[in-house]
Amino acid sequence: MAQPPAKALDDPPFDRALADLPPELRWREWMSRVEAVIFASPTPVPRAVLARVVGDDCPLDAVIADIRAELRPRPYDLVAVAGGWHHRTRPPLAPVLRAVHPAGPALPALGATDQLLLATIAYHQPLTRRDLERLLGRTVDADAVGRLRAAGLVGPGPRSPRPGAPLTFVTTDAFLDQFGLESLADLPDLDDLRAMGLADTGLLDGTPAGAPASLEPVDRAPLPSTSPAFLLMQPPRRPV
Amino acid sequence: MVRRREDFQEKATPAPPAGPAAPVLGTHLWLAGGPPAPRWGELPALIAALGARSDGLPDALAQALATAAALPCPLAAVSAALQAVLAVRPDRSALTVWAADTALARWLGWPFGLPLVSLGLPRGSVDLAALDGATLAAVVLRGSARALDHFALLGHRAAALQAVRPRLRARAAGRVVDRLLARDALSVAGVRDLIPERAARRLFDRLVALGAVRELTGRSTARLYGL
Repeated sequence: MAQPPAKALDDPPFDRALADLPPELRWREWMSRVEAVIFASPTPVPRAVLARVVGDDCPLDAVIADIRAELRPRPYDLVAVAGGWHHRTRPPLAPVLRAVHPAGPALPALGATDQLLLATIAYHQPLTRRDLERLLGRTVDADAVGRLRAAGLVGPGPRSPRPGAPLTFVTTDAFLDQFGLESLADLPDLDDLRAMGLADTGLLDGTPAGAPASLEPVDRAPLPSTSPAFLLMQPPRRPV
Repeated sequence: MVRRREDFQEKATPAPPAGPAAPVLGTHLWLAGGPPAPRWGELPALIAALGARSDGLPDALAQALATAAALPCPLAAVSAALQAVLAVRPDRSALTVWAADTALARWLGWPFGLPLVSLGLPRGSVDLAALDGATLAAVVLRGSARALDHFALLGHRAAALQAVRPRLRARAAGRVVDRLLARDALSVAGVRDLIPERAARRLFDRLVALGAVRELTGRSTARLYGL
């Protein structure tokens, strides 16, 4: 009964329900099992996996709330990300970790041009490199998009229905994870950004946003020229 | 028999392209692919794809939709499904409508799910939270009427396509026709795994000439064919 839970996972006579324990002990055992599984996992742990180590009658959300309450004085927290739970360092400590890992293992340093490119793809996807050039009013070389693809933030989308069937670019799930978005619907509204003064026009490329030069149907909304708010958010880091 | 053909098509179809519209297409193809109840275990992944991924929502919502589908009245099931999604993610209209359709399809228990709610909603932006019982009944009724309209039209065209099937001589023509019947639109690339590209172009041209299939876009490149 008192065996370490992470190891006990493999043992066939593993007691999931813990029906014979008194309530407080049982709750304590649930908490340590859940936290042990999440701690040992390199990726976020979904609910179904946690349900395998605790019984069906375990209120997982309440158990996790209790664990988080215990973690309050610690520099890390248990957060729900990408369909599961994971240990993450608290956001105020991000500069500390960045000092240790200048580029960071996850997100490579993106220059202003790359950020603009990423924001354009995020808001106007799917779009081809030619669409990007029309929107930005300048040449976009394949290397620039290639850097974003190498970082895993941008992936290939469907072929554009135009002569030559050029490849379009779309953002990936890794992009959503990095910026803490749940879906593309959570991207900050462009009108709100403009109202906050975060999406000025014509700073980087000298062309006014939404200029009539582009007759493409992809030009649905004017384009932010500075980094929009989602690029200013700091992605949380794993404990090092 | 029919079921086995569907299975084959699921496996043979190339991976759907990514992009913002891919999850919406994927979830509706899932709904049309058969009865939802036996495949309920796939639901959390689909809900996550439609943009409710954190806080354990995929499992919680799948559970909530199953509960909704167990209600004694189909309209109550639709309403409960709508409310379940709106309570946690009020701004995911695609997820909300699809969840209502899935709960309704499970309640009805038909061999194929029909998007009765999606079809019945008026065009343009709709405030889903403001749908009350009577409006919801009207929506489902209008959706059913539209589904019948589509059935009449597409059934007629499908019969026309089946009629020319014996006159096609391309090697994989039968399977291309099956896929044309199963999908809204097909490109030449969409049958690449069945038939070489040139043969596919010739086959589609011949089908258009026979009047069995239409070119849907009016473009001269990247053409799409469908009933």
